[in-house]
Amino acid sequence: MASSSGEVLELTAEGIVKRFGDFVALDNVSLDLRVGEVLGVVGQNGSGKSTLMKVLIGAQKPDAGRIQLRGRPFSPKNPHDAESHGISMVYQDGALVPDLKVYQYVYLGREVTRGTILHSRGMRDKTSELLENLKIPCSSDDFIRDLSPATQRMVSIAKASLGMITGENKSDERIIILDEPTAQLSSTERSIVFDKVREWKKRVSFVIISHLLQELIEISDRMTVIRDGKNVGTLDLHEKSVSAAELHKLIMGRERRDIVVRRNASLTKVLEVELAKQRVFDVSFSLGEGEIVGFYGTIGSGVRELGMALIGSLRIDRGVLKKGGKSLGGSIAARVRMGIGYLTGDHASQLNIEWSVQRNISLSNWDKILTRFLKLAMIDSRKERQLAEEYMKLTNIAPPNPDAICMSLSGGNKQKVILARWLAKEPDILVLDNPTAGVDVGTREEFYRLLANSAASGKSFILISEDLDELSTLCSKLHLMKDGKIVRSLASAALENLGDEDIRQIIKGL
Amino acid sequence: MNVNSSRLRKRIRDSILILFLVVLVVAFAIGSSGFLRPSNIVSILSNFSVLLILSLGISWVVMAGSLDISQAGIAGLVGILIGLILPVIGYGAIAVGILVGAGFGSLNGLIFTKARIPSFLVTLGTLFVTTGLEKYLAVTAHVLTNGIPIEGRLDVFLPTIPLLNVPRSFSLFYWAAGESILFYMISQKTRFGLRIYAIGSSASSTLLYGINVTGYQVLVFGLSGAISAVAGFLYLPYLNTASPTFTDSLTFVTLAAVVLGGTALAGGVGGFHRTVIGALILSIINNGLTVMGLDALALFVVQGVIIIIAAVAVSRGIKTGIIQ
Amino acid sequence: MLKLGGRRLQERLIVSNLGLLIGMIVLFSVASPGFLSVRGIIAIQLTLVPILLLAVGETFVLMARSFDLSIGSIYILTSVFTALFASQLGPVAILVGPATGAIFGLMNGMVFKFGRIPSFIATLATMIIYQGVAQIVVTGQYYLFATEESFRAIAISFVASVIPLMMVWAMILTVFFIFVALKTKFGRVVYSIGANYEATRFSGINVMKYQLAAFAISGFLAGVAGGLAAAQQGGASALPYPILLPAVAAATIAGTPITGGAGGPHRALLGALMLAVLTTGLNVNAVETNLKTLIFGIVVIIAIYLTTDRRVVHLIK
Repeated sequence: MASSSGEVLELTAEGIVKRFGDFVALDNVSLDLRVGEVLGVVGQNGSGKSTLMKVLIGAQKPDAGRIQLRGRPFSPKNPHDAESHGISMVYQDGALVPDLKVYQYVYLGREVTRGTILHSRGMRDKTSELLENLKIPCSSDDFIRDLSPATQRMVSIAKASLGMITGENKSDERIIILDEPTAQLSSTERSIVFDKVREWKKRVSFVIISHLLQELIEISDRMTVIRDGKNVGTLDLHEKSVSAAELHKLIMGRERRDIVVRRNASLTKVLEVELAKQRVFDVSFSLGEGEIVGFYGTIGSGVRELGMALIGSLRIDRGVLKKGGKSLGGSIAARVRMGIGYLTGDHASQLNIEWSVQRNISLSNWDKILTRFLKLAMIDSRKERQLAEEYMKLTNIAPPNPDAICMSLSGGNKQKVILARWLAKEPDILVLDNPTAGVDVGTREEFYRLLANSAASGKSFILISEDLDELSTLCSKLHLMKDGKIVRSLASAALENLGDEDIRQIIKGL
Repeated sequence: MNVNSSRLRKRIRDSILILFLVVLVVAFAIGSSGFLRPSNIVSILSNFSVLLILSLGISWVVMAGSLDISQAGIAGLVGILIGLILPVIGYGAIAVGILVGAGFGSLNGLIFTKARIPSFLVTLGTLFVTTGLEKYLAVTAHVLTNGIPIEGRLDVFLPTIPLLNVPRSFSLFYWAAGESILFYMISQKTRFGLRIYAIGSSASSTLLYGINVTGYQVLVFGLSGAISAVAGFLYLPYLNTASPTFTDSLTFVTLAAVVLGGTALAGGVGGFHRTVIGALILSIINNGLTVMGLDALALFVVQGVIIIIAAVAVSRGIKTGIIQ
Repeated sequence: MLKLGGRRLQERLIVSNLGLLIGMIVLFSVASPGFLSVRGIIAIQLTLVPILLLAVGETFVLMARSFDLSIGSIYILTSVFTALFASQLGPVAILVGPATGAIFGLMNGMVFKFGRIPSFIATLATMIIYQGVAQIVVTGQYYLFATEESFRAIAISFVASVIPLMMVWAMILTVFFIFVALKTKFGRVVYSIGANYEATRFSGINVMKYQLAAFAISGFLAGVAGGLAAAQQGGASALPYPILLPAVAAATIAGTPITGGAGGPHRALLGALMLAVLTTGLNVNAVETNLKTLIFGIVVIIAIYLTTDRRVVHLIK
């Protein structure tokens, strides 16, 4: 079966409609995937792209529309059924089973047995073959929990392709959907994963969902944009190169707004850091009032450890860490009390997920919600509500319900809750570690705007990130770290003049 | 990240456990000449066996990521039941008992998976119910004060070494050892065992890979119930009577044996070899202090302290989980 | 799947549990007029007080996602200490229980935190230790008498001729701790620790302080119960008393999950009430001893079924 342009089509979906009650998640969406291509799918959180994928693999049944797989009608009863037809999905966090060995994990669900006994040697060997075939740097006997996140991700992709490679599948063709395969990975790890995808392209067709527009552009053959449950366009990257800004426009439905960030170095120093010869880093820098100082570094550069050391979760041996001239106390509690905050993109370690938005926002903000009653610190519900509403409005959390349970929020909104908490706390210095990981472009824009505004009012930020776009948008100073040391510092003037490409070159040259 | 770190840590933790065991044994041997006497070793092993057999059931459930505190109740109930039915239908009573145990266990599993009630609560309820049934039956059969004599009919299940002067109770050890080895094999070598580990490690992921998680969970609870039933039946000839409530005190100690040995309450980690060591440590502590002629009063205190020391020595790197 | 209008569901659960409670009361009073007599009501309260106090204390530990196995032993040990000092101190001796209980609870917490061992094991060990200490203290005497009128009055003098004073103390403390759990920063933090330890730590809270405090509260309340028991019975012995399981049951069956982060002492109150009513009801109706445990178990199961908060379904372990 071929499309009008003569390409062979692997999968087509036409007129897919899916409703959840009154809410129309998918509004007559169509999609097609060609053999051997990488199709990037982008869209805001809640735009319907995840739902669409779930329909494709049989995790959701569409209310209308039809799907054709290699020319034949396809309506999978469930993901397992879909898998036996050669289409599978690798979920956002890889759906890992940390305590199993690699070969056990890879074969989970289709273990090879002789009678009731596991044929471990056979599985181990076949897995080793698979790993070698795909050039994944681990052994069949390693425990999943011991692998680096990138390797874990690759292993879960390998698991999805097991049937194809070992010939155990009914069909030879294979479609793998990757849902945000590189969330929470460092940029080195991301490029490893994407390189693999490029390699495997010859045998597998990929659909990749991601918020990292730049990288998706680099790896995709075509890209489909979903907005408000509709397919607003499919771009062929071979015909015409596409910029992230154009994509941004399609996704958001409007132009990208400019962020104004003060670039002049401030005269007042709020933080002095001299941490020489620590175990994992050796740095020395200072932070001015109202500044956003950026740190770029890949895994192993010590940049994340620096963040943890600043908040107090990583112990430092000696060295100078002074805020406003005073040495900082050792524990996290002490640092927070002295006006330092810490926000990461990993909301599992920051959010009480079964709690309401309101209660998560007030978690560090005791002084704002308490009243003293006979020497007891009582929680004043009215004050708590006011605080929540104020900061929910500021950060534009949707849905605007303070009692909403955080678990039901999208990833971007979860991040906003954490940000709301810290904005309410108004620490003099906020350390941000990859704050927008896995967050969609619209939310990212809002984040940047909030940070810029906060900085303009005198708050200082340390932004640790691997997103160059983010760093160059926000920072007045950028330190590039490698092997635990600051190897190059770019000041605001330089940053303004250099484009993203130039900075990338500088980094490559390190 | 050091790819070998997990394996290394495991090895270290295993060595510490064994080292601690050795230190314990040496300390007690020095402290009392009677400790290493054959009769005492037999005594240790007998007590250890009772503890272990009950702990094996819990081990399965904990590996799958849940909790089960109903063992003691099921064991007691089945014990009485078998004692009552044995004169009527002979050895078939044993099969009935095991079925009853498996039935209660599966009921635990079903309520847990279908009604979505936390396993601790479900098995707590079952514990109450089975203990109640046990007492009720015991009274009905007027055995509360007299015990039911079994007339040696179950002796065939308890082999002893004929020449050595080994008491009948020692034969429990064969059962304990046999079951431990069997379950170890099953957990390591069968698909069932692997899937149980997977469920304990990440039930949500396992579900995504097409495995019937709830089915396995019900199975594992049923298995635990059956194992408890076997324990109850084994205990009968050991006592040669059938009297209830022998297991009341063991409810939490069995769970402690599992945790002490290093099977994390979070599931997916650990295994039967660990439970064996945990139960062994607890039994040796108990026995050694008694043999040392320690003042019965000081016994408790010292026992508690040693348990703390054992836990501290062993706790490096244990996964924290549902209970910290 | 996640009902955001959870409040309604919660209310329904509480109502159904209350319904069960009321149903039981009605049933028992119909079956035996003695149930709601003065004697009966007093009997309920006498059963209720120790279970309630222990359950409320255990609830704080559960909220923080830990476990305290030693409450039964602290109960015994503190009653022994109280009886010991009753003759010298008179009514003031009632303070010995809570004071020593809090210390023992604190020790529990320290073994847990500084030994870095699971609280389960830590309190299993201390449970054994405290039991041992109690037996050492009563050596030779087996039963410590504490018959001073003024001392015993603290527990057994009556208010409104139906309510023993010990019940008043228990209710005051319960209401206080319910307030603490639901309305204060302390309570919120303890819930937070149980919900997500890492997140709480990163938000700038000194978690160790709160965890130790939770164990101290558990010990404190067990100590109050022990002191009141000594006063009520007019003495104390070191015999092991199987109160651990009923207390844990009371704490958990009405909706505080064993995994912490939710529930609370108000649930423990409901749970304790149910258990006390049930136990007394079965006693008063002269139900055969061994049928009792059985019915007890069945009702517990029904209660559990009615009160489990199944909103947070994925957390079930």
